[in-house]
Amino acid sequence: MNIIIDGRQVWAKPEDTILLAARREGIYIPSLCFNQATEPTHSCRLCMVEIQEKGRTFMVASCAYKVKEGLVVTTESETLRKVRNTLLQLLYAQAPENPAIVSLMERYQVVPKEKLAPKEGQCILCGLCVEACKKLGASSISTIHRGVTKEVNTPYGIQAKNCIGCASCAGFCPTHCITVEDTEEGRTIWNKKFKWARCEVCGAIVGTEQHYKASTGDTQVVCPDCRRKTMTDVFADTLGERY
Amino acid sequence: MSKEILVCCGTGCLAKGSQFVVDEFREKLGERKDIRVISDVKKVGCNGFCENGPIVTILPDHITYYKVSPKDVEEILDSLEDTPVERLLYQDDQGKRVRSREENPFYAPQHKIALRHTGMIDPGNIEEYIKAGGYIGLQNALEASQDAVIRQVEISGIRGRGGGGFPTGKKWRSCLEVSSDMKYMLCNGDEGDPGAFMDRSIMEGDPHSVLEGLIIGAYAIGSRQGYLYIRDEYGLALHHMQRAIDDARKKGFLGKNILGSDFDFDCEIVRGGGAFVCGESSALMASIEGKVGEPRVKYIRSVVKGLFDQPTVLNNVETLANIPYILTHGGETFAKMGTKGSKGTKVFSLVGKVNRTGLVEVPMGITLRELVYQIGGGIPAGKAFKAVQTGGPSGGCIPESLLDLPIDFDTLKEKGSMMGSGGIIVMDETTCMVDLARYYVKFLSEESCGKCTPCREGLRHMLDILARICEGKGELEDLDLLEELAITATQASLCELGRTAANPVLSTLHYFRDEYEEHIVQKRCPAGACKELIRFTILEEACKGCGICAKHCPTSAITGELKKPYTIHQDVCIRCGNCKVKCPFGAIHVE
Repeated sequence: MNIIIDGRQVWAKPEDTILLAARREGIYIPSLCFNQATEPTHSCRLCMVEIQEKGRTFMVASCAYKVKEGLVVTTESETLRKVRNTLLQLLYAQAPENPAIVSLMERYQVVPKEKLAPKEGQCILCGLCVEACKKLGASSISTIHRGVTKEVNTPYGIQAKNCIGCASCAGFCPTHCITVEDTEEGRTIWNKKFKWARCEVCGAIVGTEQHYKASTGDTQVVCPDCRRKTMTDVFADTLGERY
Repeated sequence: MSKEILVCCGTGCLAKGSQFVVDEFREKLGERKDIRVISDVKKVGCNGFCENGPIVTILPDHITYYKVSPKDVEEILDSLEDTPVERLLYQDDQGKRVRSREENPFYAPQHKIALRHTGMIDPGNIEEYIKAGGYIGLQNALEASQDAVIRQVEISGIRGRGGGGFPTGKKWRSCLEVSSDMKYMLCNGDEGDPGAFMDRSIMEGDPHSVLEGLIIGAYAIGSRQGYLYIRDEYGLALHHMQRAIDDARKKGFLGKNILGSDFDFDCEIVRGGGAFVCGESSALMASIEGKVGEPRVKYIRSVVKGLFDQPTVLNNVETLANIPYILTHGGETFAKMGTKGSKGTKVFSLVGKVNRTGLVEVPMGITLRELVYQIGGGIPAGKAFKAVQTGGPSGGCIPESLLDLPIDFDTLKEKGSMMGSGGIIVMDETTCMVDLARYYVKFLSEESCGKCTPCREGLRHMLDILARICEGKGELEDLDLLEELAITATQASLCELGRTAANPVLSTLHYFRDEYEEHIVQKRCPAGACKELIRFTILEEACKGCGICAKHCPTSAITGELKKPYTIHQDVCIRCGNCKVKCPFGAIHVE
């Protein structure tokens, strides 16, 4: 179907959201909490756009609003600029000097407001880590409490029994605020220590022991390279191509 | 004809000891054979006038006694065939003792539909509900087509009593039109506004009317399963509701082939954990599903994709309590009351600085002035009226100039407030509007789900700024920032809670900006409420030197010699106001 974004005719799939259709066309809409791989959280609100419907203008979150034939979208207006600026200032106060937010502020020429007292830490509570953990990890973290005291943590703030140390949460975090300590021996994340699973052939690290077990189910640890090599040997032997 | 004794056993009256009154009546009635009384004293639901509880009503004489204690029981029984006990009757504004509710200024202007049985029947007895005309609406509905039922609701013009004011008939019709194997019918009993107790009183006092409304709604939309989401703090409401469900199931109003039709429906109670945000429809559904109670975006409406992704209708307790009335008496009867856009009646909890507080049900379109001065009896202690907050924490403040505003969904919204679920908080000159905004913003910042940036962070900073202003550390540009944050929260938040969270700030800024400015520029709180900005002093000419103030000062900040004017030492004073309350001569001055 066709929609119009900033006066430009854009082709979209029926299941698309405005954000997806815009991105496919290379139209930039800022967003921090959106990742196609996970369930959307619609929480950062940076992607607000305006739509025209029945002669009226509505502000909607483009990451959530599904396209429909002939939809008219505006990504830039005075109202949008104001809302986006305030949102960026709010985000900056939550994650002071965070590069991801600073670069967005530079892009839109927004200066931080001193009056907005900064918060400790760098988390903007977008919830991407929680969604990533649900999909790729083991649902070990969640948002806890509500209102201004909301935070992301493991159940009861103690070591999560089911955490596999995959660090998917950290990988998805737009402000890179989840601490992952990787050393020669292993990994520490969410207050829990993990030992590396090392390839029994070459000794390379293939992830944490729990992560390897959860994702392969194998008892023997082999890294992808060595696995490939072993398989190549097997094929070569079978086909008699080994000299 | 035998007399009947009704004792109010709503939460308010129970807290004031009405159970002891019931026990006393039962004991005394067992002893006395000389009077003709229906042997069992009836425990009824909330009468609404809780501040004067426990309330006892004698039928058929329609005599209502207030503030009854067990020691009054004997006297009441003695007077049954004689003149009523004068001292327990309500004293109206002219000082006259009134016997019936029709003469009581608190009850006289009221018109009860949602509360039609509350306070009159025993909520634990299904037979009484049936005798009072209950489940006739359901029978009428089941004899008609789904379309005809919705038609009646549409004709009635009833709009959702939970806050949004969406037309109920329209909601039902859109759900009926969605084809699905499974549909859900939900009741929202997660009333969380501070100072509001409309839904609680209905669930406690007349649970069957809510249940009947739910069953009728389920039939109309074609649902087989329903849930009543009730907050866990409402112990008595939960108890009565569960009993109502069990009794209705035994009587065949729930279950398979209801009243011999081919309509099957059953429902159960889900207890809410006490999060204010779970009163928001999508958060409520997430909570029933066992997920974190966070709202979701609603570009696809719940009637299409709601609970467990199935078409769902969610109605408020009060809305559902009106439904059986509509189906019994017809939509047109209901539509006769109210204004053009808002039909019927509305239950309000009238609280704050008024002489008579309580639960009132009045036709839509009544003015705020009637509510505050006629039913509420005006402002106590001769103070001046300042504002009225409607719609709970996300509502707005309405100043005196708008007191003649007829209350309905649209007028309130137009003036920057909202109907909400019907909380009305009256404030007098001693309420500081900045402090009030701070209170509500604090409440909301704790009760927001915390999911989206503009609401969570916006509220955090708004609270910061308001606290600064209350402490006299505000600057004029803070007001612009406050407005900017408020507007962003209104425009960009994910759910209705966030979008209305800034209402207390925006409406007080709009109507009471001078009060903000006075805090900032003159560092003065005109209402004398912000502790950092006030000083207590003793007026020498009024002080008789009795020393009562010094005796009650917790920090010994007041010193002096007996019979000579005392002094308050500002460096030690914590501005608790105790001296002002205790001074018998009004010699403590606040500046």
